[in-house]
Amino acid sequence: MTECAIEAVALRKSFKGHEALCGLNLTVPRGSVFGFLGRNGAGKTTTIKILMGLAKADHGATRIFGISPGDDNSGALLRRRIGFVPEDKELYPYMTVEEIIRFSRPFFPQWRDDLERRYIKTFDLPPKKKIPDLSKGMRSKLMLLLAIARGSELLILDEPTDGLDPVVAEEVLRELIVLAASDGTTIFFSSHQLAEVEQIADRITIIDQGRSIISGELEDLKQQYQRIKVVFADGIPADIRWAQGADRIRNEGRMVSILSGRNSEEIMAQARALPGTSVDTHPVTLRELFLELMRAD
Amino acid sequence: MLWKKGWYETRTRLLIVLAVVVVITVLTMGPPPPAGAGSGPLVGATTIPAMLAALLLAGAGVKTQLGGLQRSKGLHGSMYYTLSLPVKRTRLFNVRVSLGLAETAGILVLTWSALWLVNPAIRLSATPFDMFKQGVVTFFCVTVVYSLGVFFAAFLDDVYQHWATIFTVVGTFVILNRVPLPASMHAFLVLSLASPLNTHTMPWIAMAVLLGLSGMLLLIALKIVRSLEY
Repeated sequence: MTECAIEAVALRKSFKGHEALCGLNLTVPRGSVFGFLGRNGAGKTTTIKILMGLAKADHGATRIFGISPGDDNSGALLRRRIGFVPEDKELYPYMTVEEIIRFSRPFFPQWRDDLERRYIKTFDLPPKKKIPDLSKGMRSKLMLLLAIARGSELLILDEPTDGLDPVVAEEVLRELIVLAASDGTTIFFSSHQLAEVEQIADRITIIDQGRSIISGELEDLKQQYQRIKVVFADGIPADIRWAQGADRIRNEGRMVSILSGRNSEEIMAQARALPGTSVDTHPVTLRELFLELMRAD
Repeated sequence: MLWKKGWYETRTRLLIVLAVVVVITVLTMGPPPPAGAGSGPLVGATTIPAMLAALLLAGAGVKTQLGGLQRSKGLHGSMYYTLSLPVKRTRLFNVRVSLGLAETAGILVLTWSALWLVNPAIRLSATPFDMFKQGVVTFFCVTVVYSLGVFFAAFLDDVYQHWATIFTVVGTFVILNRVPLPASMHAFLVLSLASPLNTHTMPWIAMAVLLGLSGMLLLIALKIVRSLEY
């Protein structure tokens, strides 16, 4: 049994001359809660569509549980093991909540009646209500129920809390944590909400312009990256070779703010050796890390 | 469950299309010939434009209401949910097409039954078996229009697919009228002058051509649907 839930190698995808993915690599271990981050247009939804077999990569390979999702036959079998919440959270408007559940159940031999009952109650979903009469939040919850009750080994969620009020979003996140902890379900989700990613993800990948720019366990990344603040008593020197190897350097008055992920110790030693400097280090939050990496050079 | 879903998506407009097709067909068959007027054709050439309208409504109408994958994207975005189900695209396509053809057949059965009941000329001159034969021929004809609709629906958005179907059918009709083809091979004449109601024979060649054309269109559409990106 493969240890990876998702493996994507050197994915490339272009739309009308625009490269949406430029050699993206992705490894999602089984049982992880994996946050997939990036700005609008970074390639998140394109990646998710390729994973779900809705689009085909121009180059590269994708495997989910070791199986290619792009093939019509194997893709259909694979989707029995995957719960999916797309960016467009739309369902059949002529069905009620209980009808869409009744419709979906026979497709999944491992359908979990216990989870169905639990989430109808937890999410307070009205079984007799028609789907168009549900609020956006309710529709998102229903989508989540339909994805979870499949008994999926993997949940692929594209902006699962998009449009939800903070209370509902919190509720949804809590349930995802419970699911990952109790059933070992792998959760792969994209989000703009950095705080919620930080709240539930144990691993992340940040992509920009179709490339992975940072990837790993969240705690490791937070330990690895540091903000080094160097204050110069007599103004910032023009020569900044001492900060070589830093990921991002920003001048703020008499201070140089450095984000470093690899050679922080060396940069700090170099900074301290300069005349009239005081050097401080600070841990970085995911939000800081994301914003710094997204900022134009 | 996919059949049920398809039925939910089509039932309202199916009834509307059915009502319109029945009315058009019955009206265009005309009044019974006066006594002693001779034995003219039961189904005349003047009925062709109206039959075409009925064909388009039955074929393209049923197709449009069927809710193909393109259509559900445009209408309510539920396409992604359908595509996340563990069902091959081939099966989604087959269910979609089969249901559409079954509904088309249903429309035809009811239309020709209505015709038999309300038109004394037909009731007097044609046996129920003649009506059955005409129904089968009409079904082959409508299937081409339907398949054309499915073909266009595989890659065109809602607005364009209907117009593309209409223009193609009307264009084919115009071209066929300028090309001297034997009546048995003329796809539209089998609904009028070369109708089994007039000739009392089955236009096998025309039917084979229509079947081949439908099969080809559906196969191309399936290939497109299987490779389509959403």
